[in-house]
Amino acid sequence: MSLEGPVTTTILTPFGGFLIILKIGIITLSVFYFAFSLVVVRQVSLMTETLITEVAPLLRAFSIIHAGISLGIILLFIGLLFG
Amino acid sequence: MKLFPAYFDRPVHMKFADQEEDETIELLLRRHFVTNVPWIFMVFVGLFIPIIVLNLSSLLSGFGVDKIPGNIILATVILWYLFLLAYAITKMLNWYFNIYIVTNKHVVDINFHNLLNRDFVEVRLDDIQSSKSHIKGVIGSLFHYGDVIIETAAERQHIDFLSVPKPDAVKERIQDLQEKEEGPSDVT
Repeated sequence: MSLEGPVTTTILTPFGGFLIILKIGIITLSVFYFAFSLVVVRQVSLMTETLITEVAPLLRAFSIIHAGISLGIILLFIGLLFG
Repeated sequence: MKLFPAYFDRPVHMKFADQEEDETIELLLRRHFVTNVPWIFMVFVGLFIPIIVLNLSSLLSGFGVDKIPGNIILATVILWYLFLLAYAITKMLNWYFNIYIVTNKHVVDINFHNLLNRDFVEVRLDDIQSSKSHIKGVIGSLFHYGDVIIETAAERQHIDFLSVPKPDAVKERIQDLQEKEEGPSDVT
């Protein structure tokens, strides 16, 4: 079995290994960012219940849109790095 | 600053949790918007860091930096801006939800320490022993903001309104409300 070819070359060189670790690291950090965005949604929801203002629904909407975008970024990164 | 007000005198469309039926908000305060300038400046500097690093990468080509594929560089730059956004969101929410409320019955301090911790302190006007205002430094004098320290007889011994606009007016208002609530007394 030949070890040549784009996939084996990428993984079996030290630099290729480094790139794989870098890609996994980027995906992991984007997952952390998504978790952060969910915490923001929860916290904005809690705080808008504590202080009821006219802009509260707008803030909640922004936090939910932000969480949606951060989920989209995970998918973008998967496509960009492993597609 | 009209865009991001930090001083509301008798706001009409605002309520807070645990507000009583006959309780009205007299003052709603946040830290003065100027106190946000340091982190806004840091975010502004952060916007340019990827551009600077990418321009310097030609100097680091000896370390193999130029061999990193474009998609990884693009993903790293997007990730950098995401974390910059996270920092800005945290700081903005911290400013927006750290609120001091003076009502006709209570003084309320809502603290939003970080995304996971918050506390809600409410002290009756009757329990206030003294209140004093303090304007700090040149910036404080220039933009007219400072601290109001409220000493109480309640479990929590003092409530600090930090970096609020017009601290002297806030102190006066608290004293006036206190006098209305319990009749004239010698409050410092």
